[in-house]
Amino acid sequence: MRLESAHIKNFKLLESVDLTFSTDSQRPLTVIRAENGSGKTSILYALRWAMYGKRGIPTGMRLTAAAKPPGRPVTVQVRAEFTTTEPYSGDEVRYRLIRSCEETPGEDDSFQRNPEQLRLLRRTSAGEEDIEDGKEGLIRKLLPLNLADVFFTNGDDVQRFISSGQQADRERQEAVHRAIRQLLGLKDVEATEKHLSRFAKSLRRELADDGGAELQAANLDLEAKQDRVAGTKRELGTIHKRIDRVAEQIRADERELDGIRGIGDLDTIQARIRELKDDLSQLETQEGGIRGQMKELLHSEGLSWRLIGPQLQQGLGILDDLADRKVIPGAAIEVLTDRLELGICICGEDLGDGSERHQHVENLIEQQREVAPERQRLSTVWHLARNSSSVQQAAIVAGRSFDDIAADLRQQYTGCRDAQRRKQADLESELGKRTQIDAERVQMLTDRIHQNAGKRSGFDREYGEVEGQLKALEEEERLAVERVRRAETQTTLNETIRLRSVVADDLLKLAQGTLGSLKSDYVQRVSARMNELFLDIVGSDPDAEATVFTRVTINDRFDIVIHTQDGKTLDADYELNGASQRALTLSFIWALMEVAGREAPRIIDTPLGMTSGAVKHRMVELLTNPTDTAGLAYQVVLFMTRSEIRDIEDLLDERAGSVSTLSCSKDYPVDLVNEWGDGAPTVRLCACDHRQICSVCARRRDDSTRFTVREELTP
Amino acid sequence: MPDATKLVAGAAGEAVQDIAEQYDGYHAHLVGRFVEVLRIQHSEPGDRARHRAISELVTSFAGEVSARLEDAT
Repeated sequence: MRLESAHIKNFKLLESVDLTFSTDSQRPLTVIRAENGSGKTSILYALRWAMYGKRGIPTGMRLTAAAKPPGRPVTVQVRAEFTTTEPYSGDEVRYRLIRSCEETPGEDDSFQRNPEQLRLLRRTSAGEEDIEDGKEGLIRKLLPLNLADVFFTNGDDVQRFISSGQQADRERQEAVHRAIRQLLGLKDVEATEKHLSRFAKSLRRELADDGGAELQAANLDLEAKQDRVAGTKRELGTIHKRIDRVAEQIRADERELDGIRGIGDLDTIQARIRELKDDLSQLETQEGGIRGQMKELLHSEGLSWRLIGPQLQQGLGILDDLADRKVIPGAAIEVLTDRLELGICICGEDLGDGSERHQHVENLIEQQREVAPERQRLSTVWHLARNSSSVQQAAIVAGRSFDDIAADLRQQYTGCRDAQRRKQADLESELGKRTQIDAERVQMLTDRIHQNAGKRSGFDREYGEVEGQLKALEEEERLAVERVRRAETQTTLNETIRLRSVVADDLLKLAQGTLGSLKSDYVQRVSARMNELFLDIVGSDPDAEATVFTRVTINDRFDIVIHTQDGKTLDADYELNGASQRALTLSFIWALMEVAGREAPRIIDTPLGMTSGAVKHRMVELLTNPTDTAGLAYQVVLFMTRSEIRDIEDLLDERAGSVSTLSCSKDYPVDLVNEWGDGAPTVRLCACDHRQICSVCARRRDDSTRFTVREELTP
Repeated sequence: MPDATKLVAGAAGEAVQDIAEQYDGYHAHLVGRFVEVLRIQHSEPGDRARHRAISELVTSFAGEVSARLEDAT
């Protein structure tokens, strides 16, 4: 199917827009240039609605513009002209499709819509002929609804095409499987095989009934063998699915476990936590010791010398003076008493009772008794002060003054606290990691991987055994066929029935062979072409050392597998960046449509998001290359912003058979240079190509050196 | 499956080599009939109608094979 043109009326802001699509096989690209909010997605939805009706657009989507006044019915219509090649005659047939409906906008975003009307007209040289029956069916055959995302693609959704496995309720790579089955015709051939199988069996029974007991017995034996072969194949399919499920679970668990392992090994973290706690405990003890020393220092004489050293020195000087004057230490009362008892003074004078000298000594003793406590204290203080002063002096000489000790303790304390803070932070970090590592989860995942690996081995073994049984059964089937053939030759058969049975069997074999060929050879062709396109787009040289991807393939389960340099595979869901996902999806779609020979437009809204530079250039170059399609009618429609077009203008010159520009009046005055429209926002299409601007589409940020000014005729 | 016709016919063309040829040109006819069966499968609504159409096709083809085999002998 090739789109020729479309007219869109009252669909969102597209009040009246006429589109022309390139049908030039050498310039298969149609470009609709439009900035964000200028109607690109509306066109995509308008075309989807035209083809599939409300099933082609999001549920509950309003067709009319939000600004339409409530209560007034609006006729929405999309008309599309297209050409198809008839499947069996090869003739080209032109059609006109008109889908319309009346929608009455309500308040807010509500609406009421009358049933949609579809007209499909076959256009011939004699005129147009309405097709009455099977209109929707015919369109669905040309563009199957379940492949709508392949034909009409929103660029931002394109990468989800290969990664739908992220949704738990969906089969992994479901869209890929569906597209392969649909576009390679597997579904139809499978249905045909089933039908032919039943038919061939009924003919063989008819033949056997006509051929006598041995042929009947041989045929029953053959049917039994065939049933067993079919049953065994089903069994293999079931085991295959089990292997898939288990493998997928293992992959998911390993991915989660890898994530956890990225945090660290639980045992190592536990050991580190213990070590850090021990360190912290030691540091706290050390801190206590330092605090004790500080407390002692504050109690020490050193603090007094540090605070009132000069005053203390002054006091010591006074005491020394007292000592020099013999005031301290005072004479001892005991000495004087002894002398009185001896009756003789130290100087030799008589101290006998009643002597004047005796009386003098007694007076001295009395005086001493009166001043002794003060002198005693002064003497004590003097001794202490002298001692303390000499200790202090020695400490200063030894570098152990109060200041020295205080500085040392302060340093120790600061160091200890810093070490504690570091260790505490490390501890918190390790504790955080331990919290992230749910030990039970790790254990559960590890156990489950182990169990599933065991299951998988079991399933693999079972698969091998059943495969062996299948081979044996197929051999038995072959022998049963020979027995039937022998029985046939030994009896006279109705030749007509025999030939019918032969051709039915041959048709069945052909269906089976075709199915096998499609599932293996043709899928491999898609795989090889996809690989070629993808590596070319991402610029990956499979032999280069630094390359990430070495190849992409489709396996026998129809999964896309991305292979890397180190022999591993990447998960398309999680391990590809957006640009690579986009490149891979488009490569797959293109390869599949090429191999399938599918003639259908590929319409992509914003195809080059997330891509830039050489990748962008190569993507457009490869996806619009008409020489790779082996004569296939080829049509690519890209809705692109100026930024996507930038740097690929030369390619568009070469490949684009039609370029036009969409603009929305609401962009004036912020982005659009000129005001047009009648007030309500509306979208207008002008004939400007990717190198032109006009009074409708000129934007304030357009670089005048990049564009030529074209005169737009008033529509 | 309109666009897949060529594709399936191509695959059938490869697969037909494994089938015994009844007469010269039988393979090409078989592939042609197989494509017809696909068309029936694709276009006839309902199992019964398909069965009848396939039955008619097989009968007609068997008649054709018979005639060609007679010609050959």
